[in-house]
Amino acid sequence: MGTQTIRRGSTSAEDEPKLRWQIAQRRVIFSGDWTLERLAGVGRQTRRAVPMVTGAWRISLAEISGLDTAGAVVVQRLCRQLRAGGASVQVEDASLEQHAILKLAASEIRALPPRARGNPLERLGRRVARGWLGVIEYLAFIGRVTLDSLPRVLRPQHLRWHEIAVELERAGVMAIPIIGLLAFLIGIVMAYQSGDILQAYGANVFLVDLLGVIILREMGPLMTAVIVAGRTGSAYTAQIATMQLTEEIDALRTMGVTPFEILVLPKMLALVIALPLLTLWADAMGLLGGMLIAHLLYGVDFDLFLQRLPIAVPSTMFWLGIVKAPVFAALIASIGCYQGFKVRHSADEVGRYTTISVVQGIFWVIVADAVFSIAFFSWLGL
Amino acid sequence: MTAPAIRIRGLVTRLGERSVHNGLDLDVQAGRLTAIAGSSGSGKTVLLQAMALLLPPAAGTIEIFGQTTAKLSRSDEHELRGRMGVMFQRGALFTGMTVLENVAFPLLEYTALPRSIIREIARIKIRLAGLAPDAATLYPSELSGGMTKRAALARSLALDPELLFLDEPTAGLDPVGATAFDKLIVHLRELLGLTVILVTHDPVSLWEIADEIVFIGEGSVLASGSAHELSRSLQPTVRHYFGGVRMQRARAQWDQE
Repeated sequence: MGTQTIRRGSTSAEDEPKLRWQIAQRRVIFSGDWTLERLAGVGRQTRRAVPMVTGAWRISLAEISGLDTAGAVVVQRLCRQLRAGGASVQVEDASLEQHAILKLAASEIRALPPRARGNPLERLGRRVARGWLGVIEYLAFIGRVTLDSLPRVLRPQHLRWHEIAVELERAGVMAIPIIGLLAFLIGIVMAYQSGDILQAYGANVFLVDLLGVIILREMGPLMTAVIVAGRTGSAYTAQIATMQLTEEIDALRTMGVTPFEILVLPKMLALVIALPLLTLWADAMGLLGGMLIAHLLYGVDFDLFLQRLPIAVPSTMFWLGIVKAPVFAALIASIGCYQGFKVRHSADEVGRYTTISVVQGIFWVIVADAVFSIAFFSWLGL
Repeated sequence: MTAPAIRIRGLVTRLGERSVHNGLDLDVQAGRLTAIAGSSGSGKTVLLQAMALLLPPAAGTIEIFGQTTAKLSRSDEHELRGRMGVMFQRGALFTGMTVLENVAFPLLEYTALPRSIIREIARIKIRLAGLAPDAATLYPSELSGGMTKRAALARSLALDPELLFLDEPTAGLDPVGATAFDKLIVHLRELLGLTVILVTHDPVSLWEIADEIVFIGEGSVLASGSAHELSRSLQPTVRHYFGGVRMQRARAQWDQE
């Protein structure tokens, strides 16, 4: 019990850790409570106070009421500073316990080697190389997923339908409200903006053509894919990343189950099924929003709108939009899973790779959309 | 006889619907090494969580250094937490920081000391826990199991706590490493005047290093005393526990010495 009272003094003002210099007697007297919570600011005090001295100095601990490792560090630093100035130093009046603690703090601590960072040019080079390697790694990942999955895909009765159904519900069914609402609002906004211009030419009825083409061919698939990349791509990354950290993935491997087949394939298939259906839903809700505004503000009533839609917008427009959705789905699912598998060590990485997964998912969806536009328009003439 | 460091009266804890402790009384004497033993699922870790202010009791009181934990103001609670260190079973090191940053973290949070002093204190604690100085720059993922335990111990010692909680410190260590860790705990207790509370299953730790063993089961303390006393207990659960083969071997070894 005795040690407790020695180490932890009271918190009264006179217990403030202080040091007095008796230059003539070559003595430094420590007083007060030299424990962690009382020490803030003392480091600066000692640094300022050390005079250039020589000769035999004594440090007295007789008046201190508490000493812990933090206090010992400060005492030892002072000793080192005095010795560096050419003085010899002796600590006096320390109890046995205080001696033990001082000894702990005494041994010279050599500088740690800094972690190699390399020069800026080298770092830039590494980043570029990593970027290229990333593309190759991603392709290798796709290759392995394909190889591991092929046996099951070729024999559909061996597919994990239960997992696929679970993923379908999470990625598809549960996304219906948010995608419907956002598509509806986008339809309203587009009808508002374009209706105003068309009205100036008395061409209100062409609102149907405009909305039909834009929503069915572009906005429906793209908006849906972006929302799903944010919602589901991030969930895939976070789930696989956490499983990496808890060694669940390794556990799967030891049981002879390849994680690609059990984790990636169901997600990929589920999203490839869900995204076209969600796109169809977004198309419908977007057109509904546009139709509402056309009717309320621009005098194009529901009958007229629905009558004109099939004439103005050929069904290929709709199919061109739907065809893109499975490709977007495969991109989102594969990027989401790939980024998850890259996590190795820390909780930090889970956050980092989840962000990367969403950003890259959206990026590649838009790139793919651009490629589709060029392909459909200039090569197929659609 | 001085006041105990921890005094628990009528403690009731619940995890969800299940009640873990039902009116548990316990005194932990200051400066001693108290081991909490009991079968799996008897609530050892939960008791440790309750004492370390991680789990508020459903009923009953916990007094630490004479302060009732439930009645503490925020600042008093903060100060009390600064007086205790907890070493978690799996280390719970922050994965995004090096060992040195992990140990320095509580010091940065609790004190306004200059960074150079904080680094020095952290490195003393790392050495004190028996880690090589080079380990300071490693990340937790680069540490072996034994090194992780030592790094976790270094972090729990960062603030020079008076009260040290250790949750299964020797679990998962090889026999040599476990013995070394036991010795380290005893050494630190003497050097720093710690009150140590240890949750353990390790028969050797119970026989070799514990001053007192608190055996819990059925929601309360079934028996307490030294390993020798408990091994002669007539309480059926305690007898069963201490009658196990591994416990007997540890005892035989202890008798030899």
